[in-house]
Amino acid sequence: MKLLLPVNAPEHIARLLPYGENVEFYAGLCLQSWEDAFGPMEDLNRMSSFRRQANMEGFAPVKELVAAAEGHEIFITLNAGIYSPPQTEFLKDVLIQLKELQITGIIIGDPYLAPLVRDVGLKAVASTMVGIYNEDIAKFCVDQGFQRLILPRDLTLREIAQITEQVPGVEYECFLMRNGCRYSDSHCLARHSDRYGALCTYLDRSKPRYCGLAERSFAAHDAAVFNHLFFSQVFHKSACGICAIWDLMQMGIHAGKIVGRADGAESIEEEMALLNRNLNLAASCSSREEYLSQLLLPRRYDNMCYQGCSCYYPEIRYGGNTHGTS
Amino acid sequence: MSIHYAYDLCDAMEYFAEGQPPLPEHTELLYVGSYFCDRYYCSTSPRIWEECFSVARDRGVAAVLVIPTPSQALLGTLKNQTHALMDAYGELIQEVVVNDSGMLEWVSANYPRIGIWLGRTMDKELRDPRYCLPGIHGKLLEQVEHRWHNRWKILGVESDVTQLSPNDYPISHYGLGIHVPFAYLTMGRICEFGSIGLPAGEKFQLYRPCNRQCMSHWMWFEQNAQCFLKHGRAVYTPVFGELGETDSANIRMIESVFAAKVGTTCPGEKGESL
Repeated sequence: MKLLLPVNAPEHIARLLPYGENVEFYAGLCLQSWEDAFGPMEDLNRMSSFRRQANMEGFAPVKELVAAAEGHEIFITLNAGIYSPPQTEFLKDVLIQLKELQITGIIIGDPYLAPLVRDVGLKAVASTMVGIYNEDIAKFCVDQGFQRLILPRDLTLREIAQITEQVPGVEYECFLMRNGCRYSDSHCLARHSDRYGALCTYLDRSKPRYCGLAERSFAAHDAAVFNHLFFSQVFHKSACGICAIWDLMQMGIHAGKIVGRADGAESIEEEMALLNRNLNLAASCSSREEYLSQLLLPRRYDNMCYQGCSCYYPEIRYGGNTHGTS
Repeated sequence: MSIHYAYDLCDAMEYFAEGQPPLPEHTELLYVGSYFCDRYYCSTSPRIWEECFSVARDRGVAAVLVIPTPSQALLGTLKNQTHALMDAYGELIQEVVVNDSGMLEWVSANYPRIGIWLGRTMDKELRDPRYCLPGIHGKLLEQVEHRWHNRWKILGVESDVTQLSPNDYPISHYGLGIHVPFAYLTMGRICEFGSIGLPAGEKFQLYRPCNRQCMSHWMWFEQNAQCFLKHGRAVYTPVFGELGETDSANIRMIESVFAAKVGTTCPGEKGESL
């Protein structure tokens, strides 16, 4: 299993390469010409509003990125959930330019871009924005021409196993580290940053009113408040899938994703080193138990490994069924 | 111009089945099922389905079956449930709403004669009451017209918009369904309410069953004079404005039963007694 790492500046690649050869990189792209054509509220990718913090500004840094990567694969993210026909026309030219820069592929949110990406000779990767929650959607994506499917964070290991078994012949990518999400990427349709931030954290800062049974019963109110505090203040503040690496490798998952296009290179570097050591360990282990007994726990273990609240795949430690169809 | 009116019981069918509220007089179609929760869809009891469909039968209005995106874990169960509903109520179910590409293919293959609407989670245009965003751009409608028109039997697409105004809508021979009085903003598989009452180490885990706590718990949030409703797995915001006279053809206003259940604005502070 490879590690897919976020980069938001060419110089970050040089810092990450020494930690392991088995890596790929992904980056965002922002284009002034896009904003001029369609306005500032039309996203080129899901993190367009983060601008330079999470995106390469124009094609020149992408060229530097490819040069710095020394042959490692580079993916560019164009994962707005949907594009209009004029926007799709605009993107055809963007794809040609990216192909000329010798990137590997495009991470796409709108499935109907997949044939265009393949037509220019780039690898078509289905973003989490596509929402591949079951084997039927995975089959649809393969029929559309996707060559890699990024599975959502909110899938169980059993579901991942079933999807990969039922729809073979395509690469799969799963979440491994950093950012959790309490909602679904593909179904979260408020703006993600800018002045007010993401909607989930905006709600955390808003005044809540507990309704229904919680306004009629003291005990029900108590349970609802505790539940909400856990959900809003503890659950998935960051996320980790280290304990699942051995299982994901058994399923033949092609890449494990580290999230964080808008994050600092230092923290990515630290986690990449940790994950790389765990990947090597998992490759040498003959069972999940052997791997779990030896793995290196994440940084900030005291908080991260509490009650499964930061686990992408809590079933590994908390007793869910992790087996596939068999 | 033609505006049709549908009443949407989705994700709150129990509330309706328990006898409240009355069906609005102008109702032409009754929406049943779920937009956001495969568990809700699969675990709703036959009695609740029967009571909802019987209202459609008694009132002489057609039913529209809304199918949520199935998780891999419930894919087979959801298909079986859909077959069972189509077998039992096929004469009442005039159309189906799907919310993902997999179910679009499956319904088309299994029920080739039924008309399909693309549901609210298939429209990926951003909407956000915190910003001044344009109304419905119609990207999904454009995709249907330009790329999909021959592939499936699509009748229309659904949209959520935070501000209604006349003539803000694309003109198309496909239908445009607009949800009121709440626009959906976000949803996730991890259900907050479904974990109420569970110990910390068991909360928010996808593989644990729920007790349909969403029927008896919901939340409002308020900030900067804006309200947000969390009901079930989804977060909504009240829709402002009125449609008024519009040049757009074939609009369907889909009014949710939520308004009767939870009101349309954030309630005030509680008093001292529960």
